[in-house]
Amino acid sequence: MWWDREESFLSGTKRHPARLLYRLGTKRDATLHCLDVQIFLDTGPYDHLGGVVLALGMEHAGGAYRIPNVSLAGKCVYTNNPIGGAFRGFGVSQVTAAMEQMIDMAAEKLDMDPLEIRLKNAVRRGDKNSVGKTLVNSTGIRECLRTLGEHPLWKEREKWKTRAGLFKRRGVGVAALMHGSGYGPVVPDTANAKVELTREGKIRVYNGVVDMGQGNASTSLQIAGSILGQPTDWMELVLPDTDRTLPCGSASASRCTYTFGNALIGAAETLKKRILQRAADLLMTPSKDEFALIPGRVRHLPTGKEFPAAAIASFMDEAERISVHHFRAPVAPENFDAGPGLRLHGFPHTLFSYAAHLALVEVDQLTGEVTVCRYLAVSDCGTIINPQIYEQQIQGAIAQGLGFALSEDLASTQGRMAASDFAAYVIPTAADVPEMESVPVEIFEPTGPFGLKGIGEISINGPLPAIANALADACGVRIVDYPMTSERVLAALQGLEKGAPQ
Amino acid sequence: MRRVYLPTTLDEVWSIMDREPNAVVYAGGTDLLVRLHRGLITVDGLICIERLAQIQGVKEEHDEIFIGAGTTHAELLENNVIREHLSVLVQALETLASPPIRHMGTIGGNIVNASPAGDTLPPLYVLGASLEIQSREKTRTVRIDQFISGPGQVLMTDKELLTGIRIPKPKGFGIHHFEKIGRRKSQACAIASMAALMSVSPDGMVEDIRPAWGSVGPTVVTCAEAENILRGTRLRPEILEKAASVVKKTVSPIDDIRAGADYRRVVAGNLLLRLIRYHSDGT
Amino acid sequence: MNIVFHLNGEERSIETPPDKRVVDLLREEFGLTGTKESCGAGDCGACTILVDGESRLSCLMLAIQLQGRSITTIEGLERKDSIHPLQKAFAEHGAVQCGFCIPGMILASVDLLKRNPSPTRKEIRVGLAGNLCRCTGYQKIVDAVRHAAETPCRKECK
Repeated sequence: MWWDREESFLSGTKRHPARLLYRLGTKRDATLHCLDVQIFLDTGPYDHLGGVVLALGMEHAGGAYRIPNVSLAGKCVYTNNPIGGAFRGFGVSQVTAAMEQMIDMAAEKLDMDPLEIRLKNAVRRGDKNSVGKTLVNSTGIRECLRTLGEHPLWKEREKWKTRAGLFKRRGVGVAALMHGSGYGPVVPDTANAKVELTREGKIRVYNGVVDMGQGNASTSLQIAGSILGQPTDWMELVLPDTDRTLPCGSASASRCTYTFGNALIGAAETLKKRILQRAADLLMTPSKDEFALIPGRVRHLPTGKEFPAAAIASFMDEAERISVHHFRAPVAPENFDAGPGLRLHGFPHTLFSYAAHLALVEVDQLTGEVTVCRYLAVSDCGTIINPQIYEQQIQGAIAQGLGFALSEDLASTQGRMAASDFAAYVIPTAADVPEMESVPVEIFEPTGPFGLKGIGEISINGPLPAIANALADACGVRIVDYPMTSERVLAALQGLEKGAPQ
Repeated sequence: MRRVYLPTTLDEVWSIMDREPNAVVYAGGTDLLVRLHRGLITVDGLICIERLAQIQGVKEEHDEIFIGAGTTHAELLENNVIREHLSVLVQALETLASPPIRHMGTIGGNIVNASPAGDTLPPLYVLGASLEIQSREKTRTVRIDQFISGPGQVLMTDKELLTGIRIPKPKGFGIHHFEKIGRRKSQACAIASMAALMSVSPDGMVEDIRPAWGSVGPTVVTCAEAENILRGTRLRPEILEKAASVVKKTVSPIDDIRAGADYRRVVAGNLLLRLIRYHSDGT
Repeated sequence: MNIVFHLNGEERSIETPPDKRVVDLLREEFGLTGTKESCGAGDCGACTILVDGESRLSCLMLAIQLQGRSITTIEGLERKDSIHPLQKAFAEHGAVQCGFCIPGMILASVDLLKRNPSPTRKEIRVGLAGNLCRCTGYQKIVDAVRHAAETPCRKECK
């Protein structure tokens, strides 16, 4: 079956449109004190994970900050509008857009630097976050903010801003991000990895979590290859297939490599032990520790004697050559009294990635056009296993977030979407996306495979608030309807549209 | 199955038009084939004129430049005569759609399509382009502003073909200016655009100015009153503001999916303010 | 009607309705599914092919327009024992994620480098603006094209 583009527009699930009401209270010294949030998501005529998206939005509504007094209320509303559903960011993009602008507005009222107010209130490991969850895993938001603060794009921002041309205004904006990974406390976030020593002596990895281009299959080969000492030409990859691979859950929730990677480590370690044990048995040596796996072969280190992995395989039964390992991601043990269903919908999470984003923006006063000139993303997503794939996820999500911020609009009237093609639904081209810089803050996450955390979604949450804050910095206006089109920006510049931020 | 013809000479075109009075002509197909595929129009015959060498290419003829209607946007962009004399057109072509569309679409198609957002139209208006319209019987010449009568409407019969564009070489206009506002930086349909030819004396006087606006009316909009305000005065912000306020009253934009009428009106005027950048620059 | 044209270096003849879209002809009659359709309206560039060396959109061309032309699809860039330097650069620079836009993106890049053998990063961005990509954010695509431009090229890739 295939859909044409218009059918895809009509039927595909879209990021839930949100109405967000925020009130934030701080002490005089800029300590965040209280937060009151009401979230309304438009889920359209059917529920496609509406409750789950709302729950994740609520959990992230207060951002990566310590806020002792928080009131959260959320409603997911049925309408006759287009269907809302799972979309990269999963409710977090919407609330981060609001919260990170609230923080800037508070900073402005307190006459405080936007980076400083964030550093003052950002969570550390051991803190309770804004929903009261104790952060027991790696928590690198402060390191991200500090790294951003030391970057030339931040340090030289005032000089950069003064160089705006005629009719142009420049501004910079920061956003602090966090993004939970996995399914939350009730729905088991599991993966079942399978690794095989083939009769030919190769290592076959049954990658059960879908790789639709994000590259997790390559990372899986790296993980198994690292444990089993094999380069990729001694490895084979089996992509998800209900006949051959085992259930591994969805490619979603920033959980693919974390959950599957942990399962894969278990399977690969077991297979390694079996191969070396069988080698020790064959040579009648006392310990498997005298052996090493080298590409396509096994070497007995005391004697230097080698034999092909295929020879070992020929002594093993299929049940022995195939190793399977099940992993279930850890969940938050906290049991909040947070209303029925919220926990079932995935509230709260226990593992979070963090990031600090910086946008350098130029605004045209004659047309309202916003140009993002440079973009910096500093991310704490644990150890990096594959730097190229890591950057891909960041860069791609920023570009997508840029569209969310500036041009992509699924406005509908009487339930009918105005846009049904790529002429009217305006996604960024290569000419719209600035040069992006990605700086990793590599903090080892003890529960992650080789120390990693999820990177798939967090970066999409940054561009809208960072650009909005930069726009406010440049011209003193805040747009409260998104995307921030030239038309809306010019109206705000002219004071034609009295949209007081809430 | 539709009948499709691929003539290589104008004589063939006239014969096909006689045989197939309802056939529709296309060159690049970048607009017509979209509408056809979406079922917005139905036709039973198509005449693709991409192989008509007679109506392709650029010729320099004394004080005039002749552009074959079947010349693609890309060919114009790479043509030295066009680059040397018609910078305002070049600037517009650079913003037109995307490279592959520019390799297919033709200037004649952009004219006959007569979209209010047609990117080449404001430059062709300020350049005073006239069009050669041929039929089997005769060739007639008509000014572009008298050819385009409304959105998607041109004064041409089914037996006629736009074959060429004649553009007098602009004399004395040191400044060629074009700006387009779209929903993104590239491959965008115009929300508003402005083309302008201007000459400014070394002491900053506007000797002559010809602006034209796209996407802010049913056809390209010109504004004699604004020109009169500017002509013969020193180029300074207040005078541009004054002219811009007249422009805002003159244009008649509509609301559509890309922008509202109010925005288009304001931006049409504001685009004129950009000309202040030439205030001390007579070249 | 019968259409004779060169497809990836070989002369081909095919009996087809003249109004069949070229993207459909390539995919359905020749099995060349590297050419993708994503919008069918000229907005995305996924169906880009080279017609006499120039990038064009196969969703906006009818079969009859192939008559006598020389067509290159993504499959035609591959040589007997090697892939095109741009294909190699895309792979090495991680310029590919889901891959749907990539055949069009690479063919558009071939055209771009033919016109401008040493484009700046900005010129690459503008030159590829007709090809939408939802995964990569374009940066690694720009890296790849820039790298290919800097790499001495065999004759056949020009």
